[in-house]
Amino acid sequence: MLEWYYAIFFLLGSVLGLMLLGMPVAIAFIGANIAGAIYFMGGYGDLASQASRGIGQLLNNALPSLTTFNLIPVPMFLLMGELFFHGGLATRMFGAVEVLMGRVPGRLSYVTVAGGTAFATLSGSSMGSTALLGSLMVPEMSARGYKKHMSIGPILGTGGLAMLIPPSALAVLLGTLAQLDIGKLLIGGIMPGVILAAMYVVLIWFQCRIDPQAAPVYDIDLPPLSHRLGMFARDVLPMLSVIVGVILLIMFGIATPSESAAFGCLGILLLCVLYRTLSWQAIVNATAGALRVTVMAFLIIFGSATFSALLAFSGASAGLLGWATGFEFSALTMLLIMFGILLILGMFMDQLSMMLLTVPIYFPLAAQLGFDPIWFAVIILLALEISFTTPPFGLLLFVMKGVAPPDTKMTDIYLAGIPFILCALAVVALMIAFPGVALYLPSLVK
Amino acid sequence: MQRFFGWLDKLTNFLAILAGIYLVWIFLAIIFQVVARSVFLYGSSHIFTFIEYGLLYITMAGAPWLVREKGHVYIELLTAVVPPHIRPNFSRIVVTLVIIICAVIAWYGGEVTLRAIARDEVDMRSLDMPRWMLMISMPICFGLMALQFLRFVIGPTPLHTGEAGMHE
Repeated sequence: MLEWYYAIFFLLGSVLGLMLLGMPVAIAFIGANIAGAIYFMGGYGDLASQASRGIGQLLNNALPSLTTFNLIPVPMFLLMGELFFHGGLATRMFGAVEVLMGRVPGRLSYVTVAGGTAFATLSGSSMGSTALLGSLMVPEMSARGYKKHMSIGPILGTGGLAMLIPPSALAVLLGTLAQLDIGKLLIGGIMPGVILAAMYVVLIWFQCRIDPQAAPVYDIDLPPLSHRLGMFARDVLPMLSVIVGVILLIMFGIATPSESAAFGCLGILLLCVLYRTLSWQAIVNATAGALRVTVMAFLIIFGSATFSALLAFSGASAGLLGWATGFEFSALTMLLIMFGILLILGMFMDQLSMMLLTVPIYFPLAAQLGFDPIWFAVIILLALEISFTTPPFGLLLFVMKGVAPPDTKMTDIYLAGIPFILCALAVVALMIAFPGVALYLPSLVK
Repeated sequence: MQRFFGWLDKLTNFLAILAGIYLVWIFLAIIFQVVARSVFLYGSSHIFTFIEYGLLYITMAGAPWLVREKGHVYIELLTAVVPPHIRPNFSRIVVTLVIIICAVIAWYGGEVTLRAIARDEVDMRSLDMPRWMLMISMPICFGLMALQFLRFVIGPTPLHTGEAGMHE
């Protein structure tokens, strides 16, 4: 048997190596697992019999990893999000929010935060959300005289909110991989998410205050108050009620996260019917969109099913755990080291791959350090998103560069993102200082 | 060859449509289950079992379609730094490795399926599902994925564009 450090080098190195070659992430995991399964699980005999046993074991492990009820909220949340957009509810809601904001300085920045959070949460892809909002909102806001940081910053910031505020498909995936209570994890993200949203609002207000020209006020036809209230009741409240309803169903133990997610879907579907915006094409597009992300994510889970088992079986997990705790660093230092590693991985890897690589190592380590798993998972979710926007190589920065107007420099994007990253880091610090921020609401879950 | 890929696309589309229908069925089944449990105090545990199995079938039926749509997430770093005249061939070599991995899983997936038939293996949940009915989805999926990836090896358009970053 290999020493644990060779085993970890072999397993992590082969996954990363195949990914860097440009293989689809799912196939890179499967390729590395094939080699690992033959070596560590193949037993004795010639290569053919080792391969037969090892790969057979790999495929048998993949079956229960996918066919678990815990994963159901992922396609349901995605279907809900796709229906929300293809059913025309998103356009209706964001149009109303924009009008309701009135002549508030920086209103488009606030709308971007709200819209970006909803889009990234429901689409399950912060890259897709950044690409869409970057190409739609940045030119629009530039035309209105907004400075770059007022348009780019909020878009980069919304990914962090999307990871925290339910319905977050990535939170469900993390909860499933780390074998956590999905309902508690979803609820645990709410308070940090709300605090982060409030910080963004204060940040935009402050940016407008110190430099009014950053987001010039422009004249709009403001409808009378009664009209605006009607608009809120008709175009905003019903959609918000569906999302709040999903959260309350989970929180009060009325339904499981999977059932709540399905009811969220039903709620959106009924709203589409009420607004007469539901069409056959919208249903087909929404199903195809949900299918696309579901298959992509689940095939990666399929591919990595044996990965944590291989880490455990080869002694790599236990060896690394013993090594890491042997330094006798404080729990906080260990947390910061884990945080730092995620920041590095975020430069060239998607969030799901980062989760799959780190969860089998991080969560046993967190348990050893005495961390509450829900609290730790909420911090990990935020770290995953911060890593995506951290200069100089965070992936979202390059996505933004690709879709923003041609005169946008990388330094514009860095400077726009930094205040929002600082807000997210402040929330992490708050959770470390006051774990109740992430744990109070889950303690109410029945 | 064009005719072959035409048939392959038809089969791939058919499976993707089945996956989409199964996805919608899962949504409806959960609603039905909750309503039946609350209103009629009756619920079928078999429905939950088929919802769980659905996650496997959806993934396996949709994966070949996603290959054709270039929907599987991959990272372009090396392919972005290799000289442009080498890139297409480099990409084809990488995709050939991908095909080999898919073919290996298809082969051993077939072996696991045949073994499950020979041994009458069952997956025990609320009902005893013959295991081969689940495992057979793997060789079919990975076989079709290998054939869809082949398009990027012998076709005019390689998988990788050379544009650095993550693609999905």
